[in-house]
Amino acid sequence: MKEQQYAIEAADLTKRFGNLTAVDHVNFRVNQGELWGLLGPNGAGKTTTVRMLCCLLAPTDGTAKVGGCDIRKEAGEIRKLIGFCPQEPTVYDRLTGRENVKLMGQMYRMPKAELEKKTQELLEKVGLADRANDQVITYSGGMKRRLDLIMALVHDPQIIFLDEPTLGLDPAVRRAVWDFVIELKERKKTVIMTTHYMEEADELCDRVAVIDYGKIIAEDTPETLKEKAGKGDVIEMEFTGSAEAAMEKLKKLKFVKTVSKLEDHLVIVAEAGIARLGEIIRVSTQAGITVGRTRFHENTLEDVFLHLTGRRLR
Amino acid sequence: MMGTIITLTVKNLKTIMRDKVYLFFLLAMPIFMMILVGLAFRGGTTTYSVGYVNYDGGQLSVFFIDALENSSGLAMVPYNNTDSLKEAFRQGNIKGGLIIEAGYNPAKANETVTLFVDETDFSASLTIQSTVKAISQAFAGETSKEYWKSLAEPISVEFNMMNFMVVGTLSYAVSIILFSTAGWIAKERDKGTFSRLRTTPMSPTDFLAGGLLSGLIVSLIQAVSVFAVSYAVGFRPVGATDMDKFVNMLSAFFVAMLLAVASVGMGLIVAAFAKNEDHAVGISWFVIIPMMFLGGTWYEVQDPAMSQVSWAFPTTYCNKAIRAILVRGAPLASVSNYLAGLAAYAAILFMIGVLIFRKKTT
Repeated sequence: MKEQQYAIEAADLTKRFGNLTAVDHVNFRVNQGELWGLLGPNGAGKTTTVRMLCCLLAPTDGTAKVGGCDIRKEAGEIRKLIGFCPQEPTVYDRLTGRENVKLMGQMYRMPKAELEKKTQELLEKVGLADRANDQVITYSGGMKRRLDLIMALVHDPQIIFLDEPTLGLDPAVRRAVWDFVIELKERKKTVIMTTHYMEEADELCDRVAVIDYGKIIAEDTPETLKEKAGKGDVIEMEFTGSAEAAMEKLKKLKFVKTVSKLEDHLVIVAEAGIARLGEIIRVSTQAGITVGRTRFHENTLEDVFLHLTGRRLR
Repeated sequence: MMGTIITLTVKNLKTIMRDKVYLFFLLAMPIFMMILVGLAFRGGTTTYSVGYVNYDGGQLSVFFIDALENSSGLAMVPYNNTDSLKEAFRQGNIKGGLIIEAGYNPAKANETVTLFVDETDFSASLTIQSTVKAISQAFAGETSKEYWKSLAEPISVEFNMMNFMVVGTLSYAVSIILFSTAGWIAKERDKGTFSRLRTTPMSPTDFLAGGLLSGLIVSLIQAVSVFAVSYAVGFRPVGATDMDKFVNMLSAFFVAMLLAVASVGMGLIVAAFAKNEDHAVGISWFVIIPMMFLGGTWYEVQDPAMSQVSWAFPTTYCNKAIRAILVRGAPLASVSNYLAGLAAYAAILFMIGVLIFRKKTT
């Protein structure tokens, strides 16, 4: 890896498929050893961005440097530096778990003894050692996902791309994957992770970029993003009637940070909002709406996305 | 690079050998077909009676009849005149009739020899026509060099349906590597395993070389299996000595491997146009079936126009070359025209396949 300040630098990175602009002039920098998340709904451009960074897709415009190497000119060098775990389990069903992991190591020409040792170590770490010699076709979805992950890591890459690493996994397996990612972070690996699970980005990422319709619309630490969206409690209030007057009156309350309308809900971010729920309902009712079921929770990245786009993440 | 290619080859072989569907089509089916052929045509060479009238009566025409008589598949029965010959044919006493006109000239056999066969008996008509053709060709060649006296040596033509079908089954077995190649590429592309490998230092050339090598190894296993089963059910290649027979077998393997390269190339082309693995396999059969039926795999193409069309298929070159080697004992050098055609096909198809693959994947 070349000496450089950033593990990844994207400059006006763009990808168009015909008339569709999947990634639209995105710019970002990922620090060495950082766990950087790309958060957005399905179809936002997350996977396309990662595939360009992994040299699987050529950019239409702009470029990026991965480990100091240009994705347009130095794909061969980049391939030696990275580990890639795709969105769908991408394993050979007719090979055993062990053979799949070793295959990836052999592509990097790892010494045989080192590869054997590393393969066994990783299989044990993700709880697949007992089934390592079974064909993958007999594995569950969660087992395949764990195998997929260690296939990206067997050669000990410096920069790791995880594309929706917990998509479709049950909570227990998801937690296990999270622990594994946290360990990578502790080992100072640079990790680029795409997700549309806000709690995942919130829990794991040092910094998060929010992407929508191919554009990065916000980038910062999860805490800062939440603060920008309005620190406080989030109150979701079902209503019937015309919401405009109520929204105007609610926005005038000093403790209310933001008010958004989402179909038949009003989403209100307010300081100590739970304690002031009675006042919020009273003001809303006086403005002519009938208040239905009301829920509240702490501010999350989901609310950040809602605040930025007026839409829910999923 | 070589290490990567070997790793990919081993990976491909493991995935093919552990997939029951591929294993069935690639290995079990050709072997099963060969066993059925053996059961249908066992008992060695079937001898078909062919009546003849020799109006010429010269030494050359007598040698010609002797040569036919000495071939393993025909029993020559003399008749006095054309009418009695035709009557015997109508009665079903003979499977074919041969009339040699006065002034018989091997170089102008189409003017001085009349042949008719029982077209309803596929095996008999094929055996008689092929044997007469082979011996006529031999006679014409010898006389053109004015060495006709050497015809005192018997001309050995080991034609029988078993030999014919062995070549067909071998050609079929090797051709269907097309479908496994197309299916393999489409599967790697659909499942994303190729993309995943492309994030490693592996190059597309490594990937294709691994595919070609595994395809050739599977084809070689197929060829050995078909020959082994064929031998068990009665097939014997032509050759004066055991060494000649062994060399002829190796020559046939070599020709089959050229067809395997062409088949892998066609597999790459098919995969480029297929949406997924199932689609690739479906398209493959649309390519394989005409190659088999118009490439002379199971029978000689009779229609003159279709016979010309058959040169568009690499199987034609392969079948003609292997039949010449295994049925008529021709050395590899004497089928160089077929080999050149097949090698050209193999090189062109593989190169087109590689170019399309690279265009679609980079």
